[in-house]
Amino acid sequence: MTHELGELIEKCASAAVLARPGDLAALAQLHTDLQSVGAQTKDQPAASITAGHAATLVENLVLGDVDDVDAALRDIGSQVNALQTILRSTAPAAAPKSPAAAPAPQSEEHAAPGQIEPERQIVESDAPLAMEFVGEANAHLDTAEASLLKLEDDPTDLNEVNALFRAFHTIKGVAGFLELKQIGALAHSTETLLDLARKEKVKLSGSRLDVVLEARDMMKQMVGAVETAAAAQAAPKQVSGLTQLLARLEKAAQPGDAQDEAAPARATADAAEHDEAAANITSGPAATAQPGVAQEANVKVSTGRLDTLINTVGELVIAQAMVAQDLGMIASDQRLSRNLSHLGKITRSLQDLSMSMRMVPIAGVFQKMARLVRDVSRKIGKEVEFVQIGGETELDRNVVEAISDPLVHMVRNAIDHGLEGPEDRLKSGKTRAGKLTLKASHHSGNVVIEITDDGRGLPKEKIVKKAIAAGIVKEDQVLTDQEIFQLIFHAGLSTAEKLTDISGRGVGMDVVKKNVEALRGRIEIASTPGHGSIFTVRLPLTLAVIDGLIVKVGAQRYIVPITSIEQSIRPTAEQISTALGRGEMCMIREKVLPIIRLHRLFNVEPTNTDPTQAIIVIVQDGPNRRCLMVDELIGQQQVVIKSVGKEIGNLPGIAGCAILGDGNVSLILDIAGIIESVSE
Amino acid sequence: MSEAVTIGKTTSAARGGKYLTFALGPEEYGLEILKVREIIGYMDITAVPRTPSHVRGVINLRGQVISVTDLRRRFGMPGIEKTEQTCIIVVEITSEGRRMSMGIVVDRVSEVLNIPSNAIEDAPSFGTQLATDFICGMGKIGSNVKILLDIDKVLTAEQVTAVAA
Repeated sequence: MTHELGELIEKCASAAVLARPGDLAALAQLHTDLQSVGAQTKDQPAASITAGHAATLVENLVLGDVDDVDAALRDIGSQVNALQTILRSTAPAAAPKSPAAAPAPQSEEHAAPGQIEPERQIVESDAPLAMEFVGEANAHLDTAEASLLKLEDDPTDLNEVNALFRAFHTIKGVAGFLELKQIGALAHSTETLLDLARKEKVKLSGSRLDVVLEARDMMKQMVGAVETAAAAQAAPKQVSGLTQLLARLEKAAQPGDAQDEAAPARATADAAEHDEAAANITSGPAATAQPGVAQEANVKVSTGRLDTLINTVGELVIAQAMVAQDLGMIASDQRLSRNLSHLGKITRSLQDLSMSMRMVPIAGVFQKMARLVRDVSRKIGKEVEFVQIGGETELDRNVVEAISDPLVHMVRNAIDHGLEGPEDRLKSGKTRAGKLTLKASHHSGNVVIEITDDGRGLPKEKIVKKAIAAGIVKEDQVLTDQEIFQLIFHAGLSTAEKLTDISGRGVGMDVVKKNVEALRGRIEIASTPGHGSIFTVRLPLTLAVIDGLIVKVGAQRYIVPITSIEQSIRPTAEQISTALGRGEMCMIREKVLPIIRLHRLFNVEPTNTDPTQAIIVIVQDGPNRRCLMVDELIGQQQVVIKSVGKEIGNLPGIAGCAILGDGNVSLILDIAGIIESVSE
Repeated sequence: MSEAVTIGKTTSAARGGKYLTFALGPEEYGLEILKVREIIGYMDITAVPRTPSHVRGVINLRGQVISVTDLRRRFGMPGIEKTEQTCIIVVEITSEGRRMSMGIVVDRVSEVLNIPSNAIEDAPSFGTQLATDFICGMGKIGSNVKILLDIDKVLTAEQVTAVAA
């Protein structure tokens, strides 16, 4: 089998898989190719006849001479497969491959990059398809990014090259179907380059890897544009630089490039492996699963439905508890109580299950960071060894989305400020490349994310000096290490000596802290000079559930988030004092804190008006501490947060509401809002 | 009254249909049946501070938290103690393009009536004493008059009782 013939068969095989009944141009091309295969295999009757047969099938399909087009397409596919098998069995083993023999992929449909039409408007009937495409394409592009980053470490990993190829191949297929010409063209050019890499004709490293990465990024933009356009039923926005990128992709696909001279040792890979890779592709989209990795089947469900499910299960739990309570009072039948406890177990496991459905692994965010590390470290000329641990750690998808931005800031800072340049590192006896570790784990009901670098550590003196200059701390103030580290979260304090466009503008860390706190999480810092720093972010598993202390004021019950509570006491008369006859205060451990009477604030009839008969809950919001006066503490409970209802709107001092075990609604207090509204 | 009839004549044809009727004191009101999601017995309502006085608070409707409006307070009528017959009608309304459920507390639910459009008159004008925007008509059943409410407007409009000019 000559090399050209092999190429031709490969082309036919992928065309047969991608063929759509309506795509006459592609079918015609396939027909021509099959005929020329037939002509070139005159000396092998079996192959020649099969090719001729396949060509006839295609012809019938083009002429509309078949009843069942899907069956016809399948027939064509199997004929082409048979053709491949025949030719392979007669081919001389391990045909020598010469890179120079590979024709530049110019004969194909997207050959002239300058002439791609802009994308057309996405009409209403196509919008759902387009949205599905967007979801799929984004998933593929994420896989592609992961593969690219892995290839950067090991350019010879053919599995990753194949995964990459499949990603672009699938996108190309669907884009063609949706007539997204530009995406199709980009996917095609990338695929061509990857195909060569897959066949080990070019080595996917260095600038080639960069250009593929660029193609991935542009594709991501284009897919984003399709998403916007599908929603608005408009034409997708143009992405600039496509033609140039296509040209560069094509250039990268030229074998014999200077950087390619060191031919990979595996260029003479055995034919079996090669065939296996080809078989993976020719069997079409069904074979997108990684060989050897069992993938679970997934079903897409809208988040709205999921939320309804979780709500309904929550109700079931409450109803079950109520029934159990009622029956427990009237009957003491053994069988009944056994069955009830069985029901209870099932309900709880159903609840756990429904909550877990919203959980997603953090790996997606970690991958984003891997890319960021790569880009940032290149930009500022530092070498970074990036280690990810615990990517499988799961947390609520809302949290995952919200944590991405703060992590970006912290990772950037770690590379820019934390790690030293290669020379400095060598001077201080460290390895050339700095080590940055991102680690996620579950810890006592929280998710803990650690960002560890082995850089120079936080410069304490410098931070204090800056803080004094900025008037944040007084000159004679004595600060603990923790207090000093927390200063970097102060707005307007940046320790970078030179301003770069990567970090060091002094915005960022305060935003990071705010974002993390909005997720009801917190950040801790540990740092040793010369040995690096550890930033630890602790987050709740989910935004949907909080631990709350249930308090009672008169007949009303309120929930105070545990994270806002410092302690609860019943004050003695000595602790209470007033100012100007009105402002009440309570002395707590040598500190005088104002008292907020919740009953006055919310206008409810209290049981106690005397603070010494009531309970004081000491609450805090950042540096602000107040005494919240309530009648009674009922207990601590985990509650599911619900909105109070849009028609009531955002109320100061109320963060939401929750349904308690008895089915009644109770309001969740927003301590920051209460402190603010009282200060006004 | 004749004046009001002529103003709204164009819409009166579309108003016939089934209405759920309920009482507030001696007055009978009607709600378009398609707006009614369900009727539930009176239950404890969690008060929400800093809301208008007619908003009684929120309740748990099978896992969904909905707000409850006291229709008596909404219309500026004197409140009464709750009775065995006091109930909450859950209605589905549209506000700013979004559908949502809300509860209204009424004294007593009566029946579902089919009121033909020829039995519906426009709301009479009460001058500046009382705004009638939220009344979509007066249904005449025998000698009784049912005040047919535009519940979307009742629950979303800022103020029902007009300030005397």
